[in-house]
Amino acid sequence: MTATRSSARRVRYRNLWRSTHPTARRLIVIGSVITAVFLVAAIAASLVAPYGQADFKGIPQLQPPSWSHPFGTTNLRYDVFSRVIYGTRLAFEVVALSTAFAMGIGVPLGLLAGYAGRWLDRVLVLVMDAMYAFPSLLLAIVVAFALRRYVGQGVPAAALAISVIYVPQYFRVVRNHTLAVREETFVEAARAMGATRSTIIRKYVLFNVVQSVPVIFTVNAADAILTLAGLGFLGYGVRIPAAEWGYDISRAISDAANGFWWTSLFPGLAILFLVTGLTLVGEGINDIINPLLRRRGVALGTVVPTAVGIPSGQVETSPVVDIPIDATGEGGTLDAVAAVPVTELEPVRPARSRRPPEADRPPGELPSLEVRDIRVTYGSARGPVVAVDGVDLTIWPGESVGLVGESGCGKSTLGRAIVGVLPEESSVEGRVVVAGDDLREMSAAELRRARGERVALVFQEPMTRLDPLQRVEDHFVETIRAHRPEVKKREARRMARHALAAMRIPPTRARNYPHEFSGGMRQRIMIALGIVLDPELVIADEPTTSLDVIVEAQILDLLDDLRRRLDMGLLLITHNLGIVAETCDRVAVMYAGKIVELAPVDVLFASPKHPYAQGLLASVISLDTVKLASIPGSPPDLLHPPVGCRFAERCPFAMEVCHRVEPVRARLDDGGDVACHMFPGADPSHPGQSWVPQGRRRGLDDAPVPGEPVDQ
Amino acid sequence: MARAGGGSLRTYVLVRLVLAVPILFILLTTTFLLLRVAPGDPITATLGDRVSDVRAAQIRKDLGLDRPLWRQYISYLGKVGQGDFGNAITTNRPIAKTIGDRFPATLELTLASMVVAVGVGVLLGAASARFRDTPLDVGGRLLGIVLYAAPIFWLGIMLQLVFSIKLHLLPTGGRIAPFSEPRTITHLYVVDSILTGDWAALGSTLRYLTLPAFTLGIVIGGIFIRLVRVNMLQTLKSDYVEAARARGIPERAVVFRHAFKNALVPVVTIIGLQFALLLSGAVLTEATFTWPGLGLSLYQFLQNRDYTAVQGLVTFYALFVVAVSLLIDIISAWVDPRIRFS
Repeated sequence: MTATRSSARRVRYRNLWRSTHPTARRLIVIGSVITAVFLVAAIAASLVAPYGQADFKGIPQLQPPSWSHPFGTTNLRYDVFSRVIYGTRLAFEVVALSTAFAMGIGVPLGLLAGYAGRWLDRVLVLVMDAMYAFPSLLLAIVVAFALRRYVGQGVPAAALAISVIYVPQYFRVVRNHTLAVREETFVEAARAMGATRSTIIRKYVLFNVVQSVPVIFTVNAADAILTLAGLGFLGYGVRIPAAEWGYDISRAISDAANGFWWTSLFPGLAILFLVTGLTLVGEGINDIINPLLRRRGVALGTVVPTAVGIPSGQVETSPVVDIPIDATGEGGTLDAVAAVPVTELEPVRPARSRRPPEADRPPGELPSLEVRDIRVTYGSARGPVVAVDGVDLTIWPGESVGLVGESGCGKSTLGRAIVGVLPEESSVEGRVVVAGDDLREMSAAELRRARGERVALVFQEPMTRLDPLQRVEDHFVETIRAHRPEVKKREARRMARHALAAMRIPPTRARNYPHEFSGGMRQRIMIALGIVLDPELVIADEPTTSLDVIVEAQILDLLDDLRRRLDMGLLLITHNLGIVAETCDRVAVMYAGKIVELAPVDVLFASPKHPYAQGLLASVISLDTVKLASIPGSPPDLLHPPVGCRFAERCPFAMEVCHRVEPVRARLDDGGDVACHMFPGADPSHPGQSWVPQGRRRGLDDAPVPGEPVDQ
Repeated sequence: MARAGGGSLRTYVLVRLVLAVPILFILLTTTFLLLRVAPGDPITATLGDRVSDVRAAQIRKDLGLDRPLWRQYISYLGKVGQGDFGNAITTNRPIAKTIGDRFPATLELTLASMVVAVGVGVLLGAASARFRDTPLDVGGRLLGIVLYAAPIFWLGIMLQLVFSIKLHLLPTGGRIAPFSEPRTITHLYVVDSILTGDWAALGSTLRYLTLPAFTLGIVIGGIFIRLVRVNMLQTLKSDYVEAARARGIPERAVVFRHAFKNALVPVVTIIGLQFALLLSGAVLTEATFTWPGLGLSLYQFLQNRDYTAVQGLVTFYALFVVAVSLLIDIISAWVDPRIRFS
């Protein structure tokens, strides 16, 4: 068991190493090599060094570097090279011993504080904080100064003086882990099962501490060498004639003043190289362990500059003029306002009307969004992953389209690809046309201007999406003036207040900071930021997932209302079918990077065609639910997508053709599109043909012979 | 609701002041205990055979070292409270007077170094983060590590070798050329010579200040490069930066207004933490460049094994560190409104 666990750990470390950036890996390798060279020199000092550390017989005084004395000689007839080598040994001895002392003091104290808690913990934490705040070299000097009187100036004394600096770090790590473990439920469980305190500490605390030791150790080792040199320089290091770099440099000051550069240069270079090596190793380990630093960014994709100009919106017509600024009352008592249902605030809500399908659109009207054959590829460690694969989608002005599917099916990627906000290791193909202009053919600058002005993206988690140092109002002013520099600040502020009022945020709160708002309010602010420039399209990526149900309903109602009044297209990405049924005109069902069904809401909910859509609907709980269904299996690996239909593996009706021919989306009589071989048009080489599976199927009235192609 | 900024900042300052008391108390107690409890007699340790037994006993009595430890402790705290840091055994001068004479020089050096450090660190750190994984970034990172790895005194000697001894451009030590001190107002020569319009003094001061401030500054700056880079990497991939990009904010504004500004908030706190390091470094820098500050005094007292003087100076350092960290906390609360509420 231990063997498998350790090999599993090895695999994990190997993967970690491979996923680390090449530069970081190179730095670690360089650092390790430097450190190893010094370590070998320290261990084999008597073999490497031509002279003893205090040999002076037969050595000439103050000779520059030569073949017999590669680093020259000193005033006291020492060979500098040999002194540097023995200094390495001394440095490693002090590092090892001071680490041992620091752990020997810090770990028990940390356990004590973490386990005992209460006042003892408070006192110890205060003492450690005070020690940590004090200049480290001064602390070491004071200890060395006090120790000098009774333990002298040997290696242990120096190590003890230096260890005092690192005690607080070990203390803190151990204490925090102990505290955390004390509160963990699994420890409660372990204790309930009869594990003793010492077992718990040994198993959980020390295991966690050991994981953070490598970083602390390498950083401390580097620091300890510098501190030792500082102590030596001030005359409080290890007693002479021991070779100690800092002391040797202090002796070399007068040499330097007379132009004898070699006596100070080489010991200093030794410190520089060894500390650099250790720091590189420590930083490298930290880079690997600390996942916060893993990269994420924005790619603009491949851009082709064109001469397409973007019509800038009219400044005079504020998008939401029909809402009086003080509609929400004075005094900024937003809590009171938020408590009132939105429907009561808005008595003249337009009646819900389903938008006509695209055939009934007025002639010459351009769709808000037209996505054609879009394909998004992520580069991963194991190869390219096609997260969105050939998606077509049209959204008309004022229309709301829901995009549903399991997590990982590519919904969010599609939303981000439309706006062009994707991680750096990704590429996008296909066309994204917003009201007649192809975003994918725009230059980087044009695309930047289109974002926010013509397409708005509302993200999932509102808590972290506003700049914490910027007032809410300034977010608006910045956004408005980034797109329309001719708008004066005053006017921009007025527009901000309008947009906020439209989202039921009292204008009196405009000058507050983001942290002064709740999550629901922040999401309304984000939406207000999205609509302030009257975009043609708003993409809301699970805008209410992190919010509670009541707030969710308010926000969805506001969004629904705004898209009608502002006549903008809305793409609502969600995994919640209830939301879609409530607020959308059409639904697109996405599976493994493809849209498998796209239909008016009424049609899809009344008779879903695609087996996956049927499965999704069956897994929703409603008042009529008798048996809760779930779709067996899991989505295919997009690294190696299957031939044919991607759902075939999980499909209860899968036929031979499904594993062979990839179905394409085709229009059915009821106005919906579906990509399934059970319906005509799915096989492009045999249009009009559909297949009947063994057993039951839904959505078609006639029941032809199972397993046979049917021509219609 | 605690929405008004001014009131809550005042509360924060008060709370922070109260919290500083135990830290200060612990530092003073530690200093006292470390230097007083260690066995051996401080007077003979300091003066050795240079005084007779009778004289040593007299000094011991004068310093109150014959009294019980707890009474010494009370009297130590009482004196510190009155700004009395004791007298040096070797010179018999009040340490408070030494501090008064020498502290402005240390302050001038540390402030100048901090300017160098922040300048170097913020510029290179932000550039490294912005151009992540390019040669510029690798160079910046390496420079940050190598600078931090250089022992300050060694770097100082190397700079002296090049700029003073080989090139004869700058002096090797001291604070100003003899007899060219400006009329003192703040005791910071740079400020005083500007205030009095004494341009000769200013030139001389800057010539003497350049090497020590640069030595100390770039070593501390190495840390800032790394810290600013890491902070900026985090803010560059933060949600609000991504949201700003999605709103079509120009990249330059995204980097400077959002990523850079947010990356600097923790840096203010870190300047406070590094101030302790700066003081340590100042001791070594002053010893290297014979800069007549507090660090040089400490170095000299350490060489002379003057135990009361070391205690007095370390006590002052403790007070100073607590004061600076207090100040820094207040500044960060003023910059970042979120701090006041947590």
